[in-house]
Amino acid sequence: MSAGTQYYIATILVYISVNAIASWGLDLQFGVTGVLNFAFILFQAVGAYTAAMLSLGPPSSNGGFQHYPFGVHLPFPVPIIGAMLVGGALSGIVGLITLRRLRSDYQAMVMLVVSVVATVVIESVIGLANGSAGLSLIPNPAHTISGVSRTAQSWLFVGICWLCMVLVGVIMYGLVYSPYGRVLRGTRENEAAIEAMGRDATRARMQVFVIGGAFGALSGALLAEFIGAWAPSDWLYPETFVFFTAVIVGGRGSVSGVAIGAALVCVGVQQAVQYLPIGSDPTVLASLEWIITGLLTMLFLWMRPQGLLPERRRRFSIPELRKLPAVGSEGAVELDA
Amino acid sequence: MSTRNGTRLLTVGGAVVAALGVAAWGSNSSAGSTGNAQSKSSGVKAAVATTGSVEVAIFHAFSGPNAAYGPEAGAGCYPAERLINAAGGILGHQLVCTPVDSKGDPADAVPAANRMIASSSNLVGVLGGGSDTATSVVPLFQQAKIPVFSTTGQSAFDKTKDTYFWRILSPDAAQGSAMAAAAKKLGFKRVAALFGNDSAAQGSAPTAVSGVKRLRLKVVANQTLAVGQTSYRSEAQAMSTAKPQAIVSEADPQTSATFFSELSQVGQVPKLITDPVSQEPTWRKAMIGAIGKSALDQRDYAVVAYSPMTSQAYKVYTAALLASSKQVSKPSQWDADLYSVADYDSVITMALAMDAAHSTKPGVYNAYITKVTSPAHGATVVHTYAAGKAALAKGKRIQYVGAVGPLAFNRYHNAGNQFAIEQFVNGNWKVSSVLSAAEIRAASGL
Amino acid sequence: MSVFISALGFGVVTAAILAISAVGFTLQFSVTNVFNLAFGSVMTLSGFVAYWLNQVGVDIWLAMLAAAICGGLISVAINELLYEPFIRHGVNLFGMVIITISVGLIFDHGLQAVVGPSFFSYNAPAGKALHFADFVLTRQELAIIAIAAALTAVVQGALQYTRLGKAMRGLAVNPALARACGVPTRSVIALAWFVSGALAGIGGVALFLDISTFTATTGSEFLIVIIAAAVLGGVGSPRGAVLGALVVGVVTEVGGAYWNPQLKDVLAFSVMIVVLLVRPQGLFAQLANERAVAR
Repeated sequence: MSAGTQYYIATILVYISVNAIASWGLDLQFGVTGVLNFAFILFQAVGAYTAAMLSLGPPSSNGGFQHYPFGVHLPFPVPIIGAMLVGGALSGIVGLITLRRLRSDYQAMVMLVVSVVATVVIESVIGLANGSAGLSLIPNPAHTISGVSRTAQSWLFVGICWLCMVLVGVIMYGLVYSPYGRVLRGTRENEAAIEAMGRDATRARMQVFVIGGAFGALSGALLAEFIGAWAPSDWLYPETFVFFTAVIVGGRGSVSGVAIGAALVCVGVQQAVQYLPIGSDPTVLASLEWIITGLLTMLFLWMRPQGLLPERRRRFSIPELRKLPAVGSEGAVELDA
Repeated sequence: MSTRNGTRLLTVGGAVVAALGVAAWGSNSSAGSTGNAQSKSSGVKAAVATTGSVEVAIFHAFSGPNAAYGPEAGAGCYPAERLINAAGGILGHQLVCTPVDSKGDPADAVPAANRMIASSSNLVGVLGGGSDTATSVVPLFQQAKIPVFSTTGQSAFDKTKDTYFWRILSPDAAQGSAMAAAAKKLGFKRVAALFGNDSAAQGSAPTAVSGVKRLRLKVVANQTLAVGQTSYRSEAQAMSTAKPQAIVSEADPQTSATFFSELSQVGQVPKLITDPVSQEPTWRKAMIGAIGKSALDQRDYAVVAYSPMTSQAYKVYTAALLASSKQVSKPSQWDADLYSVADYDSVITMALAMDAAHSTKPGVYNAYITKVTSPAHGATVVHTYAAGKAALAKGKRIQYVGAVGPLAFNRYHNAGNQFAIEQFVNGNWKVSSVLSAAEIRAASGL
Repeated sequence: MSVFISALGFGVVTAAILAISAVGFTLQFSVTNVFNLAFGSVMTLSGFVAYWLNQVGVDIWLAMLAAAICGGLISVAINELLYEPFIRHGVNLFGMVIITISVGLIFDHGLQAVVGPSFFSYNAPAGKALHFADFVLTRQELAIIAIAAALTAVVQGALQYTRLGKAMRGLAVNPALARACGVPTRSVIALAWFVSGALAGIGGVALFLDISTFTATTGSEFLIVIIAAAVLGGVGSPRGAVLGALVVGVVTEVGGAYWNPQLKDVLAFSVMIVVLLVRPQGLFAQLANERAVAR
């Protein structure tokens, strides 16, 4: 296999893991708990910028042509851990403002506005993160390992990303398929019932907002280290919608389903379009990517709203229910696992 | 599913099919009409396999806010392709330009670049990596050992160590100093600065403003526009109140058009000192829509690379461009576009370097790029691919002087250009004066 | 003082453009409870219809009328062919938001595939600038302000005093009760979509005239500001939308004149978020509770 092909495959693998991590973050918020976070891409961006500043060194380094408030050169994995902390903290702040008082459709709207505001601020206040040009020359931790070829370094970075993906996946399983997960799903399905049982729905929303934000930030940190640059054009607000599509296609609330959804939608569609026999006008191909993303969402919501791999639900049969205190229902009743 | 739902499903399905149909129809019609890049993929890829052609990628944004970059570079690549192939190709290989969409952002550009490198075995060179993506993709081409001729203006590449990176035009910082020098040369005393907050405009803004100050002209207003807003009336009002004699400016087409149409409503639009962006057809189209053609042409002084547009290389280029209407939509719109011209010179330079190296291998011919462009004692000066190829065949050393002028690459592979002030007169850009190196030094302080 | 007065004048122009669209958005939302994020695409599509007519020599104001009809029809068609079936299929409020985004993306990018990523301008002179003390307005801007004032007055009046308006308001407050009282739900909803789409068409042309160049995604890019105006005023209230548009317009222009103009949108959005935190239902709306999608 040529080096070029290896880089290409490595790129695809990195993007799959990064998008899976991000989609899980959104799934925890939207799929499991029912929070419409239209600002999700912002937290990926925060992670990317934080990791960049924690690994680039002071602004005066690299010729001093980039503007950012401060920078240090910390060894891996400190930058990505820092990114998660900052992403989670910022998520908490945004959550505090939006999740407490607003009705949920306004919440969605305010998130959208927050995403747009962040882009305008970063582009306008150049000292924050070098404006529209963005940050570049972000070091890739795998490239610091000497004595091995560039291809080996690429595969090493793939390994780092997949390790992170597995870790996040394990955490997701732990969170979703546990009593805590039931509280989250209850918040989504019937807030009043959850509150009646003495659980705090707003607190549950806040918690998934912070955790999901930290996952988003992790994905951004890995992505920025891989591509070596990060700019506002990478995180325009419509990008969030791609993650929503991944969650819907994969299966809301389903950990393995969402990973598949991320691979298919965030990476698969983009690559597949390039191989379709529809000519090569790049503008049309780019438009088609968005059209396919929109169509996929609608098709799934119509034909298979539960997604490719549906969320696990425990079904109680009538005899089992009879053993429970009487409830007047007919046929099988679905209850969350 | 009930019958009722079935009907609904059919309706939705129908809508979906219709939408896909529109998209497919769009793909055909737009390939024909806008011609950003022709639908030549499948055919060409087949041809590649059989005839052993070599490929130059146009790696630029074809979608998103910078979608004009792609067609602009295409207007340089396709005429070069035409001339090179008419002269018998390079060492028996036909040259093919292939458009690849970078989408104008690093996160999309990196996988696109890696896919391109992996999927084409005969890729010999790249035009691309504008200011939007260069820092993320140039290292990939460097790693793959493929020469990349970039139009980025970023200072990051002023002293690059990437040996496969080549830049014909001066960086944005030099452009800014030249605009300041032009303000002085044109005799303006009260000058305003107006730049978009996008990465392209922000490259030249700092040196333009500092240059104007260094030349002891009065900066009466220094505005940065957040691109793509509903209105800039407050900014226009402030600009009008400041009463500048000239505005030194770079902003994208939509932002410029909105601002200047509003400025023309609240007061007079003064003279404009602009950069190569104002020679791009999209910018002119938008600005003519905003303030009118005669108003624009009376005011606009474009500070651009000095190339005697009457030069032989330029004439050859425009003739080939006008003949390329199959691949380039409305070719005449690009004939004064400096970036297109520079991209044309890039492809010709690559081709001549391959001839000189007797190899189309990127890793081999890269070292010959300076050898076919630098002045040397006894070198034959050539202005076209055909002439260069013939001279090389006779064993002569050549110096290609392109449509943008001589290409004097320094040790960092930056050529840099002389600057001139141009105005649009009687349907053509005319050089009104040339800025000397001393004049630009006075502005830059370097 | 003159800076303030002129900024105020500019704010009114911006507000007029926003108000036309914001009223359309809010009217349809209050009747159907579908948070229609494809609204911006309807603006763009109608704006392009006006562009094509304008290119073959039709006067821009006549083209605006055509855009209104076109926008209305597109809007009704989207609802009948896509939204309605999905609502009947049992998709909930959130699902519908996501579907409207999908529809918007398909429209925008379908249009972009056809017209390309280029810039377009109407062929319409802005007219002479007129000076009223420190106000400077062109004839075109005056016309847009007049149109905005007339349209919002008509919509508000119709809602207040006609039977149809009362039916719409009834549907907005309690769909089940309205249906029980004999309100022809389907036709009233269809009419709401038509009026909303027509306002989107007019708002789109006004916006494109104002910014003088546009692309296939311009409408969607400005949708957020429009929704901010509608939400600020209180979704469901046309006069709230007008007030919201005025606040956004004046805050952006006055803020731009005195503060960093690059951040004027940020200022307007911050005002919106603060207002919502203090008064979650917005300035004018009485209903703070969400309802299911009306059908």
